Amino acid sequence: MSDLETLEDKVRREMRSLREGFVVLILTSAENFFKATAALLEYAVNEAFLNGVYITASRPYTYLAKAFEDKGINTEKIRFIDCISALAGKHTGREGNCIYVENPVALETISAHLDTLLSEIGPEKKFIFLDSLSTFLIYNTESSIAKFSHSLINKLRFLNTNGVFMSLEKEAPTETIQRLIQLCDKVIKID
Amino acid sequence: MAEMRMCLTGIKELDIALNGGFPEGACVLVAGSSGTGKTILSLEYLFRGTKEFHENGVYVTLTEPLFKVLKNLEDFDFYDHEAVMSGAVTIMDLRQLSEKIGLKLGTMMIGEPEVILDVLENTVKGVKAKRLVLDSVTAVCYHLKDPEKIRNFIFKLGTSLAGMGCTTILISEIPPNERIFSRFGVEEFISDGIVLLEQFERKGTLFRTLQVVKMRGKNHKRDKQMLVITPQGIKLAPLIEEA
Repeated sequence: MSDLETLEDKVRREMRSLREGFVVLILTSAENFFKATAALLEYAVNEAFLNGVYITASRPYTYLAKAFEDKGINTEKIRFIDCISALAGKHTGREGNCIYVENPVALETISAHLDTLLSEIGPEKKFIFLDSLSTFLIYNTESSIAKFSHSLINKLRFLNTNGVFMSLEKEAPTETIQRLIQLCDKVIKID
Repeated sequence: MAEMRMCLTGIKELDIALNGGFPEGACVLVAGSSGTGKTILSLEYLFRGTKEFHENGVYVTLTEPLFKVLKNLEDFDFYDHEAVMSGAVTIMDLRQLSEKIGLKLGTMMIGEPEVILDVLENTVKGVKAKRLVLDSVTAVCYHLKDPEKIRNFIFKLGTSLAGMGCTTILISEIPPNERIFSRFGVEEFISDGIVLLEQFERKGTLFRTLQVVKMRGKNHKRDKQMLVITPQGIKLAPLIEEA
């Protein structure tokens, strides 16, 4: 990123260089995490006109939906899997565009709901967004997250669907990141 | 050799695991402890049967009152009240039925396999059912007591229903965390297939699993899969880790 290039410019430049069916790992800092997330979604939804599924273990759906709308992102094009609100007392199940899962340990449940939501979107071009590997690692073992990511990426490849995996650069274990780098098309660092 | 005719369950991932569904006319034991999803799985099998394959079904309960069975289904997309009203899916309480015909539960009707067989065969024949669920075979066996009677009951039930092209699910209630398929140890040897439902705990949360243990004359997947109950019905996902 040059001195004059903003974070949003960098995200757009990097994302425009990717081919359809991309799987990308985004490594960023805690300070830039939300800004990077919003810029990526802004590109995916508003510029590339993709529909998508956003899996969150970091922040609740209600918070995210409002924050994204404030950034001008059309959240009607995004379905959510919220893995965190039930830990704060929210009931599991579906409410509108969001499916609430009991907790971030329920990796297979997330995978099953993802299938449902992707099939709801239909044959249109789509993406999934995982927020974030570093948060999922708070609740799960490295080995289960490695297996989960691998199975998710295989699913994306099979369905020719785009994928964005977010992680805090400093908090994710090197071994997990190395495994993911091997499976992704590109790693984008946003400092 | 004639190709084996199959009975698709309508549960997408289960049909994949079964390599195309249950063999038509098979008697399949669905075994699991309380809360593992046996009743929902078998009712989804019936409702999808009528909706997607135009096959009538019969659900016979001995364990739960009818209103509870139906109430529990209302939140599922696969549930079709019209199918119940039209008789495409017949839901009957064997205890109520026995009272209607003047028999007391636990004495003559449930204790006499021929009487139950007659009721089941006549019902299946009467509504031209291609799918039957007996919930549960354990409750029947409990009243039959004698292993020889149990063996005969399941054998005769399987034979007569297979002759009518009816594919049967026998629900087997087993204790939690025991690697057995039935209470009396007889049911699994007479059945054509076994689908085992279990639960395990991961970091304080209970998860359900499904595994096809046996399906006579069929190649099938043998891996344990995560079973997730969603408003759209049962979904299976590859198991990442058991604990």
